[in-house]
Amino acid sequence: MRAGAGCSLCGMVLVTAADVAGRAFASPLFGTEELVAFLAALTAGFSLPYAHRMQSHIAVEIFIRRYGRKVRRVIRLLVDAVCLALFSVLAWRLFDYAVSMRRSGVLSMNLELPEYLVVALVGLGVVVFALHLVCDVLRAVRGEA
Amino acid sequence: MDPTIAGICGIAAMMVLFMLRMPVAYAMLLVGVAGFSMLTSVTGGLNMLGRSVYSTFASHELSTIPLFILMGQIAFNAGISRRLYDTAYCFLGHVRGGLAMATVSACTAFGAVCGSSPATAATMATVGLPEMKRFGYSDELAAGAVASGGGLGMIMPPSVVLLVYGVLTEQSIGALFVAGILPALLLTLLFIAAVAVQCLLYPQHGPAGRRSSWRCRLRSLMGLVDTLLVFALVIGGMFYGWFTPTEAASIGVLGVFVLAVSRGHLGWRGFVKAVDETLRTSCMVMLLIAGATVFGKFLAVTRIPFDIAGWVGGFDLPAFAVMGLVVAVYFVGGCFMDSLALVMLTIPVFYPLVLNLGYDPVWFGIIIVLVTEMGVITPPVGINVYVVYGIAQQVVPGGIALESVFKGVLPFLVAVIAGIALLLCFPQIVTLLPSLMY
Repeated sequence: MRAGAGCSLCGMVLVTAADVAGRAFASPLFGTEELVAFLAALTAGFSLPYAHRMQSHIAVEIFIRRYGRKVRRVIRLLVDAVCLALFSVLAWRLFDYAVSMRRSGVLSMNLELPEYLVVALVGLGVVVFALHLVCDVLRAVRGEA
Repeated sequence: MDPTIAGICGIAAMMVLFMLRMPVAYAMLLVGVAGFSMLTSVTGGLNMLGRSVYSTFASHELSTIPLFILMGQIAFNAGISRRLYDTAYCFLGHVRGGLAMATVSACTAFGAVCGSSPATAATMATVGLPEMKRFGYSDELAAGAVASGGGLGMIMPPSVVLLVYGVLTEQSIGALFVAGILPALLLTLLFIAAVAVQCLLYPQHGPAGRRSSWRCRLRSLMGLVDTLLVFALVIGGMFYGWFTPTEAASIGVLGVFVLAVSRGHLGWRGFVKAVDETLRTSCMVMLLIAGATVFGKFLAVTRIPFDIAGWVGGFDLPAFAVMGLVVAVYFVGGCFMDSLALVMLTIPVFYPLVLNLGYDPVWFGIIIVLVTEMGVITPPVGINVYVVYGIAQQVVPGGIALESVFKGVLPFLVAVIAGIALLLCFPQIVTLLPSLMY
């Protein structure tokens, strides 16, 4: 998943650069804007599990440090469980969005690409991310973390 | 439930979640969708969640963010920072406190390719701290210069905070970037002045080093050439309207990449590390924006931002007093929260207020970035301070005490406050360059 995100990121650079280079010779790349937007969505969606695993998301630490280890563990379990619920709902809504797009036959404006596939792939990223949260919750229940 | 009361309850719930160490982005998503569902309908709220997150991720304007982060990461992994530092040292090393001044100048120069404050602080701490300690600089001055100088990376364009501000308020990213140049240079001068005053009062804090010959100085200027080239291409391209911000960022990435590879400074491993770091940081930023978008939609339904704007307007305070209050809120908030999260959380409330007062939106963006610069160096959550403290443990024998870092940033904090006061009195410093664009 991380490799996919990395490739999408490099793809964004190359597509945009090719467009700029093409424009210099009066033949810009058609549909660059939507291609870059799709690649950006895949970059963000696919890097969700990695960013979570590396604990990249900003959180306010100073209050929780006052509590003892046991209380902190219970709080962490509760927070992880709530996050799991939130991102499971998000994954569901993204797939639902993709299905409704497919049903209504929405295609992208210039290249006429099936955008629902991109939405579903972002949903897949959220599913893998939610699975990481399941592992976190299980670890916390077993008292490992 | 009355929408305003629901909004206040939502904000309180979010604060509780923050205190329980739920990541800021997750908490904003959760409260935003729950509140919106309560005030409109559950189906409406759930639909809004999926669509807002996807449209944030698939936004063409926001695609600039990972690209500028990648550019900074490649520059970092290719060692561009060290060459910048060497150049600054050749010119300033012989002055008392010269190494600290060189660090601050190198931070500004590195900020021209890197859009993040902690990344600039980390880079310069790795390069500058061991040198300053070798020349007998005090812990306070050495760590203070690196931690505060790192903030210059955020003000000097390209800047992630300015990018996010531009997208949230629909301002021209190019104008914001160009507007940031003069304030960044002004703040660099103020920081250099802060070092000079400190060394005048306590000469033992920053002993003078050896003087470099002009030949050596001119040769070291070669170290600046590649950064200058990339900066000129990226910012110049936007200034003259050749590139959109996304295009400028891509050209910047390719420019730094080609320079680094052709000079043998970047291998496969360095490149993968740069991409990995970019994925982590940009994912964090994108989710934060998605959270702020969802939360902003909830706030809009509660009408709290408009109520507050009306409420403050009703006091009939002079405009500068209201600005003073806004700055104070950012200052206090910045002590507890990451700058980017704070900006996203407060923009929906403060932006209409500041526009009502007749202030220029680009000018307000620069003021916000300067104020958040204070946030990254003030206790207890000054992220740059912790970054420098952490790196000092690795690069300085015996490390540096956290108290010394916090003590060291105080003179620079005074310099930032002076900078904000100057921009409040002379808004032309910000608006001059954007007015010359295109």
